[in-house]
Order: sequence, then C-alpha cells, then structure tokens
Amino acid sequence: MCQRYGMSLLAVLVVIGCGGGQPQDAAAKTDRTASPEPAMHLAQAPAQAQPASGGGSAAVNVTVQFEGAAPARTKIKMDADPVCRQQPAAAMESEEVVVNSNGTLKNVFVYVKDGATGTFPTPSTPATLEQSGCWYRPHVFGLQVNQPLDIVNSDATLHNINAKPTTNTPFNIAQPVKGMKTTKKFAKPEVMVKFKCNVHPWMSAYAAVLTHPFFGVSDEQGAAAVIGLPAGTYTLEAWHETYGTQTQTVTVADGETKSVAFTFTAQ
Amino acid sequence: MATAIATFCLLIAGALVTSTDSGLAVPDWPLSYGMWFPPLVGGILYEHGHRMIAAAVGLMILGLAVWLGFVERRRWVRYLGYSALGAVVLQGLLGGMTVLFLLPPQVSIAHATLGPAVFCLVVCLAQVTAPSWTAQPTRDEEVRWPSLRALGLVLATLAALQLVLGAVLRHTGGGLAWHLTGAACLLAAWGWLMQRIRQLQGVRHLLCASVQRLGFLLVLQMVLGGLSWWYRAPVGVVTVHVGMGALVLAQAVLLVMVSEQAAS
Ligand SMILES: [Cu+2]
Repeated sequence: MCQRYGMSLLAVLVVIGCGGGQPQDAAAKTDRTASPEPAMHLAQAPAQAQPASGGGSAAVNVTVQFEGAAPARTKIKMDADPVCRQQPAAAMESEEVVVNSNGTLKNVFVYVKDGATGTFPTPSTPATLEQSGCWYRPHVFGLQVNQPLDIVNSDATLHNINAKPTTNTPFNIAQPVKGMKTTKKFAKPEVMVKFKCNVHPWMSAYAAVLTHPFFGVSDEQGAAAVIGLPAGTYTLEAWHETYGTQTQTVTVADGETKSVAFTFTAQ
Repeated sequence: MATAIATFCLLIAGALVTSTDSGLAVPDWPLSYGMWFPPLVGGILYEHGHRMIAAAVGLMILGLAVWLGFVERRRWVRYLGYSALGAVVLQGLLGGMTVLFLLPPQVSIAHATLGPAVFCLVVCLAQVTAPSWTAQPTRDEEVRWPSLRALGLVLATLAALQLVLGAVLRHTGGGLAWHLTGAACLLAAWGWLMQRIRQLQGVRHLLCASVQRLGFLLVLQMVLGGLSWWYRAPVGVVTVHVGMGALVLAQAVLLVMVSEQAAS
C-alpha cells in the first residue's frame, strides 16, 4: 500500500494543477445591486469645517466629470452588529465610486498641490469626523497641519478608529460609548490618511492633511471650490480613492474665478 | 489530547482574526475596550473571541505543565511541558504587542509562527504521554545515509520554515516565490522519505501511516494554497490553509518522534 500511495497523491496534484482555471475576482461574488439612481443616504455629511481663508481673492471652481458606465455600488450588510442593523435606512451602499445623477463624480478631493507659497495660519476650529449609523461622515475631507480633528461617536455601539497614515504617526483608538469625542492632530502634510474601523469593516474615510487651506471635495453636483487664492499659477490635483490622481495647471489673477474640469473614466 | 484540540481551535480563531482584518478591532490590551467582556459585535467577535480562547488554552497548558510536574517521571517530558507553558505565555505577550503597536509585520509574523510551534509542543506532549507510547517497537537495522531520522528532521525543519514564509506572505504580501519554493522542497523531501521507508521492512508498519498522513496533508495544503491564490484569499480557505500548515508541522514532528522511537 505504501508503494502506490505516493504516486496517487502526485497524480492528484497534477490533475488539479492542470484543471486550475482562470483567476476569479472575489469582488465579483459580493452582493451587488444595480442602482441607476443615486443611493439613498441616512443623512448628509455634517457641515464640513470650511477651509480658512488663504488671504487671496481668486478662486477656482472645479467640476469632476465621469465618463463611461458607472460601476454598481456594493450594498453593505450590517448584520454583524445589531445596533448598525437597526439604522433607519439600512440600505447603505459603498462610497468607493459615487457617480451623481448629472454624470459627475462625488468625493473627489481637489487641492493645490504646488504653487501655494508662504505660511498659512492653523485654523483653531476643528474638522470633524463623525461615526453615525456605522458610517464615517464625511467620507473624504481635508484639514490643515496641526488643525484639531474631532472624532465623534454618535452611535450606541463600539467603534475603533484605526488611522493609517504613512508619514504621520498612526493611531488606533477605542470609542465604546455613544457621545465620545477624541481630538487628534496630524503634524505633517499627507494626502491621504486612511481611516478604518475594524469592528465594522465597511467603514472607511480619507483625510488629506495640507499646509494651506486651498482644497475642496466634489459634492452631489460634482462641484468643488478652491477659494481665497492669491494671484498666481497653481498645480491642482484631483484625488479619487478608486481612480487615482490627475493634475492640471491653472493661473488666476486677483479677483478672478476660473473654471476647471477634471474627467475620470470608468475602468 | 483535549489541550491539543483546544490549541488547534485557538490557531483557527487566530487565523480568522487576520483573515477578517479584525486584528485592531479592539485597540486596547489586555482588557478589551476597558472591559473583560465587550459586546461581541463585528470584528470584536473575532479579536475578543481569539483572546478568550487563548486565555482558556493558556490555563489548560498551565494545568498540563503543573500536572506533568507532579506525576511525570521522565524529566525531558516535564521540561517539554514547561517549555509549552513558557511558549504560550510568550505567545500571549506577542499577541498583545501586535495590538499595542498596530500590527508591525515582524511581531505579527512572530505571533503567527510561535502559535503553530505551541500547537506542535502540545501535540508532542499528547503523543509521549499516551499509553501506547511506552511500548517498544521492533528494532530495525538502519544503516543507510541519510537516516530516516535525519530525513524526518529535514522535513520538519522545512515545514517550520514554510510556516514562517507563509506568515511573511500573509502579513507583508511579499515572498510568494519563496513560499512556492518551500512547498516544492517539502514535497521533494516527503517523496524522498517515502522512498526510503518503502525500502525498509521492520519499521514500515509504524511509519507508513504517519508518512501517508503527512503526504495527504501536504497535497491538501497545496490545493488550499492554490485556491487562496486564485480566488484572492477568501476568508474560509485561507483560514483553513493556515490551520493545515500547523497540522503539517505537527505531523512532521510526530514523524521524527516515531522514527526516533523506531530506531531506539
Ligand atoms: Cu465601527
């Protein structure tokens, strides 16, 4: 018996090796629903702290267009936590790619990458990252170096906030009780810092830490505004969590408002 | 024996923590959210569940070591028990460090490697304290080089190395080629050992079953490894793959022990 065993085991391996098919995309197996309308959300993101004025009078209005077929958004199952499941609108959908009804792309972070000279005061008003309905609000936001960031738990469940910067210091904090608030600061500029909750693996958020206030996030109309710019030539970068980054150069004079369009294409 | 099974459950629970990316779902250690028993929602279920099973296994190994200390006559078996206890304590501390230092790869890899080692120690303890162990088998003239024992040792070392490489792949995403090479080496070593055992008469009945089990585990393990790669690491398959890795190591070490016994 010992004689044949080895050969048959090897034969099994060979058969399996030959029968290995194409790699399959695990993501394709997740439950997806095609939704032509923009997904319903629990509530609007809390009013984001407006960037402090940069002292100038020029502005750039950015529109982020989207080309191609919008990928279907993954429905999030919150069964793992009874508190999350009880949310009024449990029909949360992934925010990885949100294409607005007017064919624009939401949650694109637009900022001045190069050209902002001088130093800008650190705002004392904190930026806020709220956990509400087992969801980060806002999903994408910006703040300045050393500007306080209030991380708030508005849920009657436990969250951990796992910040994963690469140049700043990472942290992982616990907020087991509703109403808890933790204030954090990032000491160095970094685009982007990812936030994750490991209790609820679907929760993610991105924060850009900049030395200046020239940034905005595209909204439900695909619009983002960079305001308070001094006259000059700037490199604008548009960042999207799935589609990466694009840059454009724009020159503005004092008091001038220019329009710039970025276009991201479906992959 | 019960401790061995419990330790294996602990390994699976630990593997699930990484598979589900729940390692940091509980930011504090040794307490969980400042509590002994936090609500087991979402990722906390995996992380805190792993901690609770770990505590239970730790106590079982403590009990085992104390019991051996009192009743075991063979000194080396007592020391084996103490080293299992020491290893499980160290493993607990490493686990705490993964949480407190936000999963640095070195600590995670050490934690993922020491786990199967503890399992292996407990399996060996179960084997040598079993009533069947003391029975002396027939002698066998073993003169050829390399000896069965040496081959078995090579196999066990390769299995251990392969566990480390697997952990590196899992926690850094790098070193796939090494992990595949390890698999090929393991299979080759196993084939060699199989070949040698076939040529022996006396110990064959003893070793044959052991080697066959090992071969079966190896092939299953390669299939699972292939599946995890093709399907981009589904939680269930990878978790079983990690657990099986520990079984391969334990089986290889048992093989060494049996061949040792056969040669004595
Ligand atoms: Cu959470």
